[in-house]
Amino acid sequence: MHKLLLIIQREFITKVRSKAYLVLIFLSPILMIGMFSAIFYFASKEESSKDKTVSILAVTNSEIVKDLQKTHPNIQLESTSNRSYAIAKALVDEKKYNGLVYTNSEWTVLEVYGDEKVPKQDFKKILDKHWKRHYLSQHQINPKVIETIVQESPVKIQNMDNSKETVQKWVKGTIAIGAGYIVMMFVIIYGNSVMRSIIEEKNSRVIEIMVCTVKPFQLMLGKIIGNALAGLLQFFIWGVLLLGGLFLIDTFLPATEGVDVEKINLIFQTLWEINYLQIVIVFIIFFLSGYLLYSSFYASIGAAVSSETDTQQFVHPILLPLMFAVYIGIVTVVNGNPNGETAMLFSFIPFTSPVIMLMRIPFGVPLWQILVSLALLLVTFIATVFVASKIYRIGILTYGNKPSIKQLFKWVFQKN
Amino acid sequence: MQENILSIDSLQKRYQKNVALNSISLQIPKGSVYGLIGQNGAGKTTLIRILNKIIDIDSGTIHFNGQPIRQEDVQKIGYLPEERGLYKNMTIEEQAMYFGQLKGMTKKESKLQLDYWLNRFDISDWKKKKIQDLSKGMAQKVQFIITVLHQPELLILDEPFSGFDPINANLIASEIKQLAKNGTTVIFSSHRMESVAEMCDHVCLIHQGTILLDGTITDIQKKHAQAVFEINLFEYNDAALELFLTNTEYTVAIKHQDDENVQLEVLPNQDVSDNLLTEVLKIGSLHLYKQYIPSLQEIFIKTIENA
Repeated sequence: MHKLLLIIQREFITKVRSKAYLVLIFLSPILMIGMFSAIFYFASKEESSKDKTVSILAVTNSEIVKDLQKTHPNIQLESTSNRSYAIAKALVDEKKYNGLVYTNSEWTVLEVYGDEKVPKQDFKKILDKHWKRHYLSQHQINPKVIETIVQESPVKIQNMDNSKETVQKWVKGTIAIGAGYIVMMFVIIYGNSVMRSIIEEKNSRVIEIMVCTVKPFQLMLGKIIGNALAGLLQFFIWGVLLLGGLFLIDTFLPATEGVDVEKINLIFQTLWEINYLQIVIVFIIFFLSGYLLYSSFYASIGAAVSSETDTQQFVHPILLPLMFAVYIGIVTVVNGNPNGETAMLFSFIPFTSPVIMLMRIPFGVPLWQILVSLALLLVTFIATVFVASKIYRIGILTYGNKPSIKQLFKWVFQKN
Repeated sequence: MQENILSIDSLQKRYQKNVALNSISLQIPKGSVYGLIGQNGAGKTTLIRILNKIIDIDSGTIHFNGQPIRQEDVQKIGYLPEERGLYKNMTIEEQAMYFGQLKGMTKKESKLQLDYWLNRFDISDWKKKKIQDLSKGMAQKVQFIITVLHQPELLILDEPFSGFDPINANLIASEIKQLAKNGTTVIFSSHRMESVAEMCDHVCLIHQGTILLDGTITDIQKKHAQAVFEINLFEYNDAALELFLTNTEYTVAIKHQDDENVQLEVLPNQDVSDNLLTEVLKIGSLHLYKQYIPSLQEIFIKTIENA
């Protein structure tokens, strides 16, 4: 036990002291925030300048033109009344304009034509209104009546006040996807770290001294646990930074001008309502179990090969279920069905459950499901650690060509 | 009777179809410097790994200090593998603390021992240096210190001089001798016969998993000493020499002859060579009379060739 603690301590200190770790902790959140800000910035810029690049040829009367301009002031509108329909349409086909609004003087042809940039539904409404007005006036209807009819009817569709629900769904979804994604990232980063550490020990031949001092299983476990602790520390620091950041935003943002205070307050109300203790506990348990499961594979790969370049072939099969889990999780969360059959099924399968169960947690998961998923995960973890330790103890003292999958299977049953 | 630190009996180890050690038995006396010799793949590393409990045996027994060897006994062994290696990004001090504690020492003991050895090698200022900043030879020295830090009862050294320049090799050799003098048993695995002959009092030759030779160097040489005598005579008598050459009790070859000097190689036809000295004294004044003792290298090569 004392030896195991020493190994854990060394692994933890070596990991935490490395520059790569510090960069990962402090630089990657900045990079991520920067990246998302850039995405939002360009997306909003795109939105505001959307109409500016749209040109419309309006072959219609001046009243309609006026209405068109009123509803879409940014659109470049060129109006004329003396073009035939065929010529006007040909101009749009030649891409001189994005679209065409056409009415003839007899009110028999009313058409909106154009590409995807043209707000056709809006234009159709305008033409509808003018056609109705023309039709009714032709039938000697009182102009006052006409004006009342062509205006929007007093019928109103009143949405249920679900803005709170929408915000909650959005906030929980973000937390769910974020948690699942972070677990996947942590498993990959720290699993790789275990693998690299073993390859380094093997290459520097320090392994020979280590295995005559401690049992290979102890060494493997020490590495896995040491790296897990470094991972938890990173998670803790990120958690503190994130909550601190949110607190600052909550305190100072509503005081800023031009901010929808009500919406911001609702977001923060939802954020502070979430049971973080449950999320953190479940995160730690599922992250550790998932990480232990996957890192034992990473450890056996590290032991089996002699250089990092040889690891590719073996690492891919490990990455697939993790990525699959993230995609399935995102799809179920976005579709608003995080407690549906698909999500439930994959939150029981041990290779996907660490990611998907975490994504479901913010939406409320029955305790029995968490426990069953965890039990299955732990049983699988014990089995994989057993297999991994068999490969590990043979692999660490085997140098030369990388072994085939068949050889790895042989190692599992080989006597030491 | 001399006490043995290690007694190995009928030790067998196979790797799938290959026999690595074929029922070997040997005794390693306490306080001896025991040479383990053999070609690559002979089974030396397998034996060393078994002693270190890195790999299991198929059958046979190993006794350490008279008791069946246990995992805890590995704490009393210091092992310097042929392929050296330490953690590159740790300082010498951190490294010593880590390995010392893994071998059951306290932090304080590890520190004291490290200081002792650094002083002994006159490299105290290296303490805070990382292994990656040291030259290969310097790192080898640190590796030796790490191996002996916990004052092991049994020291297993695999090619301890490889990578050392002659001056440092001598330094390490004298430290090994000193450790042996203080009671540490040393298993010395090497291909270099001259260093084995210089360092060891016992040797064991392993070939294809079998022990071909085992014993003290003197005994082995005595056993393989041929009954051939080298004789140099000065101011010899021609007639007496002629007579000796015709003596049927000996097969004689003249290696060199001039007016004053004759060098002979004499093989007695019977086992008894008691009269040989009396006989040659009749020929002339004796300058050299010596039984031919083959070197360890010659003995080993011949033994392996005949195996």
